[in-house]
Amino acid sequence: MKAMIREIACHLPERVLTNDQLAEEYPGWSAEKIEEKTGIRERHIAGETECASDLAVAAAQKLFARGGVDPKQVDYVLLCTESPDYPLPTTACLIQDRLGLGTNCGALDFNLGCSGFVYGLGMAKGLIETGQAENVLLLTAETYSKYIHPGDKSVRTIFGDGASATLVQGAQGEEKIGPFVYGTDGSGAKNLMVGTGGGRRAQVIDAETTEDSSGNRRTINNLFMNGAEIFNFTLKAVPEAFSNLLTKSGKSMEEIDLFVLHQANRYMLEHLRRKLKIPDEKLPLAMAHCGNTVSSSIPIVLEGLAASGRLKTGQCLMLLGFGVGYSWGGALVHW
Amino acid sequence: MTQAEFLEEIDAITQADPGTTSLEDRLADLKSWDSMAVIMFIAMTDEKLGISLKINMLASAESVGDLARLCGWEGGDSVSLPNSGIAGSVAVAGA
Repeated sequence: MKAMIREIACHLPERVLTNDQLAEEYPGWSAEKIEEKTGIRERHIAGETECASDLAVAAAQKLFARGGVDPKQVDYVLLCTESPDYPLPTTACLIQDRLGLGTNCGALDFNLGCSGFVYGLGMAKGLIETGQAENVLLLTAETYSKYIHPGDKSVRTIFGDGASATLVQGAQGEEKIGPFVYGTDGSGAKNLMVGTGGGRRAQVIDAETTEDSSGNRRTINNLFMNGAEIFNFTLKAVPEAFSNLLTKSGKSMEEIDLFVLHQANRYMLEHLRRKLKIPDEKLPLAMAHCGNTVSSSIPIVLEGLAASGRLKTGQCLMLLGFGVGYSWGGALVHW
Repeated sequence: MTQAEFLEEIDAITQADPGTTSLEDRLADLKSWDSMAVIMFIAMTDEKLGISLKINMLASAESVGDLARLCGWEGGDSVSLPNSGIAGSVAVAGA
């Protein structure tokens, strides 16, 4: 039995933050300049009482409505999120209940960001091919907006909230998912971080707001990103993962039909595309309408490609996720 | 890359009129030297000079000349090594 991706459905929250709205708040930044620099026109933002589980449930319900699987057939739920509903219990347990999945279903959260979908696929493949599960519901859901200070344009322009649901099933035949490459460098942890609210340091009441040299304001409780360090990391990690994955698979670049990279920002992706010498038409972009949705960005690209008819049976895709942690992962997927 | 070409790259990154940026210019005075410009500069050094900059050294740069020195400029007409592409990235510690 080999694992394969059977279906993908994504969900974005209703509320939209446009570049025009951001330009009104940040003097000197026009809507056009924001889009030119980031490739993003708008990003969706969770409502005040809307959590990661709400977005994940909505994505999963869309997937079930497409008829590929009955909820009662799902025997494992993997939820990738860095913004769980609660520190405990596991948000995936709440989702099992809300979706009406059987109580014979396994469920767990795993805390990863931009690399999360690739890691989730790896775990789903492992569960299926070791006979532990037959229908894995891989969910990604993020509400970074709840960590972001309204005065921090460096991250507010980039990140959007969203979720995805992917059905990974077993099937007879050749390998459809794999090989994989993984990487971790925790020395970069401080460069994309929320510094409070966990065991190391509780949330600070009435935390002081500081302003950096670029005029971005935040407190210790907010998301902090050192964009330059993240970019530098990406320039080293992604080419190495790309090369290692080709070597491990024994494939040449020309045998890969599409390269689906984490949608960090358009400038970074276009630079990577030139650096890796990937033809323009083989590196799809899908961030203008949603921003960087963290672990949902790769499945959002895949769903869009499928809906537009660009994905054909038999195509070989390279997925590369990279970012917060630092964590990175790559996989080949045979569609 | 010549010094003139390096300055042209800075003009493009900061959206200045071509030929207006000099090595003596202070970064704080440049029109669009912001976090995105820093990323674009890193991308330029990666793509066109084949070097990987230490961000903490970049953060301490105060002038365009400091940026050039981070890239290996030693006062002549040429800034840094020829572009050596993906395989030849050289870490420039600036120390």
